[in-house]
Amino acid sequence: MSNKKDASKTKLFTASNIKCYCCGKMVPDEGFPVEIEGKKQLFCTKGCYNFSIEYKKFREGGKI
Amino acid sequence: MNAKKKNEIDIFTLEIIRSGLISLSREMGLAMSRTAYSVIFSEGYDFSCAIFDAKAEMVAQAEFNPVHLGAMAFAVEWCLKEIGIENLEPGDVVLHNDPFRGGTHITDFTIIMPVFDDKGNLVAIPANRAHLLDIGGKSPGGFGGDSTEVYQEGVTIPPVFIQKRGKPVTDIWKIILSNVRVPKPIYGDFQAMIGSLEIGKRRVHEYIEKYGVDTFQMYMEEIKNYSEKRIRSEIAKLPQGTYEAEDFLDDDGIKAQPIKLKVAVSVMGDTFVADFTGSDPQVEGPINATYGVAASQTYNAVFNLTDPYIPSNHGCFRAIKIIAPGGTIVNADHPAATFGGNVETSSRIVDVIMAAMSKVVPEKVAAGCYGTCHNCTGGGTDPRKNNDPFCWYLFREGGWGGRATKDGNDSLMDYVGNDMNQPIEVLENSYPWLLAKYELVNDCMGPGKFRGGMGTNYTIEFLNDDTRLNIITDKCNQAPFGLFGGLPAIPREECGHYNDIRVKMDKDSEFKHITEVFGAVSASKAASMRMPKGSTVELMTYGGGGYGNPLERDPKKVQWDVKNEKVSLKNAKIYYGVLLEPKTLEIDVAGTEKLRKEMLEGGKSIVK
Repeated sequence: MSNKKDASKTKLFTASNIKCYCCGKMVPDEGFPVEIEGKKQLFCTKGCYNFSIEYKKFREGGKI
Repeated sequence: MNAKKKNEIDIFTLEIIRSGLISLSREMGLAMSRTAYSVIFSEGYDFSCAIFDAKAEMVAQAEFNPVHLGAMAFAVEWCLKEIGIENLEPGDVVLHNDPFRGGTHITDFTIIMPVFDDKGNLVAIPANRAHLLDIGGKSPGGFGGDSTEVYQEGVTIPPVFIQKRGKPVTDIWKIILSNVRVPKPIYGDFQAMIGSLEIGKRRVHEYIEKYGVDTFQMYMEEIKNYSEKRIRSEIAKLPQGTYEAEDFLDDDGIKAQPIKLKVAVSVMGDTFVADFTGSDPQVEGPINATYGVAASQTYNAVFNLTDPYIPSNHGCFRAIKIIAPGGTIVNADHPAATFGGNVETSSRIVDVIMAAMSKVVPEKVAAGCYGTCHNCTGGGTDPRKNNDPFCWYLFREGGWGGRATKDGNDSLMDYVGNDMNQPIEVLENSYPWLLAKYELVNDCMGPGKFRGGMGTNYTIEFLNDDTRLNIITDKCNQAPFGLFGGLPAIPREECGHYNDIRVKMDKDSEFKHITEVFGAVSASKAASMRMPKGSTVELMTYGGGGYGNPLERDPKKVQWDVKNEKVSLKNAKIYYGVLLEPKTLEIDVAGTEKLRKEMLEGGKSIVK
């Protein structure tokens, strides 16, 4: 994590309920947005987005 | 890590730093326990300590509280993201307790102290999480069994500085200490937490001095990579596929209906996935788990299913994926009440994962545990100490499930907490109590080839006149399950409950359930019950489930159980088919063989 990020992200209000479309973890900042079926969905990271595709294939009987 | 750096890794140095950081986490914990004011710190060890790197990834932890340790990672990440790394300076301390920002429940505070090198770069973050006695809210000591919002459970403190450049931020201290019922011990416990972080900081500086910043950071990265390799190789040995199970909580304290947890565990190559899709929506009462709790307890289950000697850190977490849909019992949305999610729903999360995996790795799982922290809190004023206010938090141990080669543990804190017993002498000195009874409970354990462990009966008489008592427990109605022919725990004859809470309002009356005396909806969850002087509460935990057919249990083991008053003569016969001579307790070998044959062949076995 860089030491040189500027602008504090301190939130004035309570934690939001924005959760990752794949795992459910709360997305603390802008996350990783992906358009799915015409709607913007937030993933916590790109890795979580990639995992969601692999996992879907696995549960549908495909091989990873 | 690039190839050049990999070549620079010396395995001996790696092991020295890895073990050293675990030892440091233990040292931090010991410092906390020895300097704390409250009994839950000094005796109960309801805290955890760990070292994080500059990326907020856990590098080392000590063997404290599993539900804290997994979730702490999310809390440290939140602290850094909300406050901003660029705003951190040497001597700063950040505190937070928000269950929805990587917390567990609202009395669990996470405190971090960033450590910098001489150029001002963040190198490591010693952190701890601990359960404070009280953080306001409607119930003294928390755990209001009828809370419906986190606001009723206490004061939420988002990530804030409580120390800046080595100086206390007094405004924040004033806000916190004016919102708690027992500011003195809480201030002392916070100081114990900060003191333990000072030790963490001092030792990290010693590592930097000895190895240099770059080398120390390189080894911290490699420690995580090593754990990841180890756990992935263990996961890959598990049978590939998806395994499902369900388990239930008794109720949420508001409505008397069971709540379902569902899991589909997938072993996907060298990745372990716990998918809780299909679990019930979040509930009104205080047993909602946050994502941090769901993640912690999934990690906990995986560590139980794999090699327990793998150093647990962020490297392990990379191989474990949790899918916990928002708005459900395993990942509630703000502002749900969450006190019991961390201590009750968390137990169910481990149990349900174990139940799913029992189908493919029967040798690595155990039957159902008593499955609760059996939380009892409260407060009042102490007439022995000038009517000073007091709050307490008691968690009670119980019986664990039978295993493939051994009986379940007797009277041990459940796998969520790993906390220690708070000794009677210390409790009686700290609170106006008389411990009227503390004994093992016989005949409650699930019969099996390897039976469940025993629970305990812990009875407290209150010596003051203004105690308010809160309870959050579970598995009063749902039995700890048996496995592979083992039976569930045996319910109490008089009421059919397993774990149980009863009260006696004066010395001459009978014990009754809280539903009868206080009109509670639930037998296992209630808040702010007024207990007068001379009243008594009985906290009973139950046995674990059995593993394997009880008719296959060695008769000598049954005899030993009867001799030691763990199993009655009656139950030895009914459940195990073992006949003992009532006076000498010698085994009637021929009679036992005949009875067991009849029970098996004649369909009279209890086991179907």
